[in-house]
Amino acid sequence: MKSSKAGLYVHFPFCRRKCPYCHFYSIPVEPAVDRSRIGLWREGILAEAGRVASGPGFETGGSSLEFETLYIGGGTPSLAAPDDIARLRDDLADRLPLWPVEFTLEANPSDGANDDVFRGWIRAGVTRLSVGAQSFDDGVLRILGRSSTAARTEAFLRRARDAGVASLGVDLMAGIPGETPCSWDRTIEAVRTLRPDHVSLYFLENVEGLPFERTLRANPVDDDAAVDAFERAAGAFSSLGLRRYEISNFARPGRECLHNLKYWRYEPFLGLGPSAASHLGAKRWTNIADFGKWREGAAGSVPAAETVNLDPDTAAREALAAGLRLVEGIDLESFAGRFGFDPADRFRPEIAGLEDEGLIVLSGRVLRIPENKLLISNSILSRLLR
Amino acid sequence: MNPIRNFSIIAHVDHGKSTLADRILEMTGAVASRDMRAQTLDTMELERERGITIKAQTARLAYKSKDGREFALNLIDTPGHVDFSYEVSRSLAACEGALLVIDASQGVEAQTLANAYLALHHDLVLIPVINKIDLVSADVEAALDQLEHIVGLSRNEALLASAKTGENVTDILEAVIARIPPPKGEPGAPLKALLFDSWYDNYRGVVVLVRVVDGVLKTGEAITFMGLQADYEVEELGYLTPKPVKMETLSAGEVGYVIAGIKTLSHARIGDTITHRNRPAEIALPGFEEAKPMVFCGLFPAGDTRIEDLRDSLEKLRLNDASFFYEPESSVALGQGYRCGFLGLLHREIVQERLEREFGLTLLTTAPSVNYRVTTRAGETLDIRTPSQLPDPQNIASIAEPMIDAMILTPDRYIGAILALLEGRRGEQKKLEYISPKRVLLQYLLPLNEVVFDFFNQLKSVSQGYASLDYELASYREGPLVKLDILINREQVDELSVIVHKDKAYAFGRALVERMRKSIPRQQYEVALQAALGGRIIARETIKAYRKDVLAKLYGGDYTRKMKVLEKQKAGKKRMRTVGKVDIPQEAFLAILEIK
Repeated sequence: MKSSKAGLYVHFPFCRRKCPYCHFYSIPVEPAVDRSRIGLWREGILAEAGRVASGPGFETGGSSLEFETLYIGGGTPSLAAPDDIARLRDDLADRLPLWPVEFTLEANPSDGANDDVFRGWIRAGVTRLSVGAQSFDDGVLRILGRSSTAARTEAFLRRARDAGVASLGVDLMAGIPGETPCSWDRTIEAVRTLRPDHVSLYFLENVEGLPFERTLRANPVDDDAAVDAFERAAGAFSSLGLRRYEISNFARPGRECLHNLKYWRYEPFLGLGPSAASHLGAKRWTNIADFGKWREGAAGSVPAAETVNLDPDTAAREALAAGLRLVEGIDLESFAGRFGFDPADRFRPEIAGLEDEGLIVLSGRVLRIPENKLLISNSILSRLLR
Repeated sequence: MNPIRNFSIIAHVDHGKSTLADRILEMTGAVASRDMRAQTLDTMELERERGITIKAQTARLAYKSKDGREFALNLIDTPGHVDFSYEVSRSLAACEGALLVIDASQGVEAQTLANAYLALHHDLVLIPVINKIDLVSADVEAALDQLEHIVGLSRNEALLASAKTGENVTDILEAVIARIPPPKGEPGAPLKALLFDSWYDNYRGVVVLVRVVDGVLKTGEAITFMGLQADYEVEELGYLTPKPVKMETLSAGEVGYVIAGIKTLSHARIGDTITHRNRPAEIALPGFEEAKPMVFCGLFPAGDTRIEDLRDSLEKLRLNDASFFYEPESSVALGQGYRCGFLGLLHREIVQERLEREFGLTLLTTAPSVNYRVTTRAGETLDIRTPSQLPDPQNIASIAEPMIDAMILTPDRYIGAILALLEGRRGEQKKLEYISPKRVLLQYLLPLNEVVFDFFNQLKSVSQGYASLDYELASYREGPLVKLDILINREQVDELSVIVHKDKAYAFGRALVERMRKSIPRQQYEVALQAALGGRIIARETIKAYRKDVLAKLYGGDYTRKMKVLEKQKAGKKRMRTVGKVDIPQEAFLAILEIK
């Protein structure tokens, strides 16, 4: 049986405190006193892994799936002790065909870390840290409600590098209220001096119901200014050798996040933990975002927040929408191999119209959105997939 | 046969006319309590939702008076909104009397007065009913004063009642039999039956409602529609309770329905007289003036709707509403559509809503316009229903616009704001009268085109809802009118042109493009909006191109949401029209309505 390379995501649902703009599922805890809760989480993850491994798609002797990336996100997984991470990884590898070539851990620089911790993570197999910096301007960080300072984030990144973490990624945000050209310069400058291997740059999203909604209502952000900032940063990153490979992601060649690429290339992934999403075969499901209910069901069946049985057409459309986020675009040959049709044929008139307006490029066997049009890809996609 | 009384209920909108009808139906047992629902005579879904009567209905009720006599009462419901006043007048022609319902908390309003005049014009006996006396805010004395001073009816004639609680409703029915005379008419004379309503029934075809004035009509008889000179044979007749009850004859004084194999509604002309083919009446009844559409707008298919769907739906809807008009229209920017004429703005809204709901269409509506009368230099007179039809200015000798006689009743404290509004709308004062120490009656001559642009809402807003309006078409008047054109990326969009008074053109043009800028979303390309007068640009607004429409990340759990965003974006475009490369939403076509 041909094995397919999948990604494994593990959701760590705890933070010291909730950031007002963040919509990911997490529970505020004090890890020093809440080791037992983290223990319960670890047990749940392993139980869920064990159950999935004995389920469909895994029962054949030579497993059909191999996990080549591991990504622990959250939440703030850097709150877990390095030993816990190491044990979790080993225990997961006992239950699942897990041979990660990339192991990412999300880290919050405000929690700080000493060299032992970094070395502990490296020993646990972590190859990549994804560091939630958001900004390198203290004023902006305060508006965001982050407890970190630029200096702490810088120190965190320097120590990580010195300790020998193989790949360092930094998350940044554009379109934060209170951002000025000057504060934005500080953030770009920090990237220039710290030389991370990877930068994710997203626009701040106004998610309904979050505390930050009020901040944004009181301090609306000018769209054009946010785009100007984004483009200035993108230009600076490129001159630093950080090549844009997805709408919002930049990396030194070879340091792209392999795990996230699976989402954009529409490859299979398994997500463990509350609120984690999985996509295996024609089925996609999202675990319930409730720690208690998830844990109760981990060994048997976790209630799903969403389950979708993907018909071939929906899957193909999703694959196009996801793939066109990438600068490299979509390889039509392999797309046709997977989905049974060539988008260049199926969407011929739409593509022709978009090509005329310079909104899509069909060259050789590749379909892609030009890099300078990626930020308006929603309207391009909605015209393409009519 | 029991003695008959034919009567209507007339009132200003919302004064409780339909509730009173409900109560009467209930008390006479026409509708069993278990089948009773509010607004029984309002059968259209839209009527119930909006709480208004659009189409008059009728019911025959059996009533046993306090002294034990049995009567057949024909209740003919009427619509309250000014758009449908022609229906009121038709209903009244079939009656000898009417209940004039006045909300005790609101007092006499413009349509109270207009409808009362209409009834007196038809020589009807009026029974004033002060309704809603159960309300805490009821001011019965004030209402009675207004009845005397404004309407000119004696307070001693008025009955105090609550249709909601049923209080004194029996007294109303007693007054109907005591005060309203029985119908006159000669059963032995040649047949004269007034056709006062008609509708299309999907199973039965055209059903007409008649008031037999003279003679007797029987099933199977050969009849002639005198106006149309068309012959039919009566297949079925009877009365409505409101459910149809089959009968063999309808005699002088009676109101009932007739089914006679009539294929299209246009053959059942309201106001026509039905007579016997073999013993015709010599002179037809006076009939009615035809309801004339006052407001016009373009309806264009949008989204998945095809022009054929729109055409079929208009045809079907017209079977049930003969009062709107439509003709094909073709626009460079919007393609094929229809120019439709309506009795008023509410009527326009209702037709559009019915087309969308009952026929599942997605429509794009252009801004309302009125009928202009253009005299060309060659001496021709043209009726112009859409600004784009206007001939080259060099060929125009004169343009005349329709004027209305408006009657406004308002508490005197809003008079300043209302006068300012009326002056701003080029109104000409005919009369300003204190009809009671605190109420003012205003009569104005107003250009209709100033009224179609949101006048009613403005009037309500400056008077906190207290002023009421009634109007009727008065005349056409020549004036310095010009066509204001709108250009989108330098392309003139016919359907956005408006005809305005010369003195207002500049301000209007500026306000219009500014308003449009707010309603057109940012697009992939920069959009230039211009207003032009005779080819000269007088205002410009620019909509900058958008630069981003992606915000969200796409990770494991985000696919469904992402696809929904794309779907929503597609759906949003449904109601837009693409002119050149610019997507113009419905709101931009109606931006003109938002100009204050």
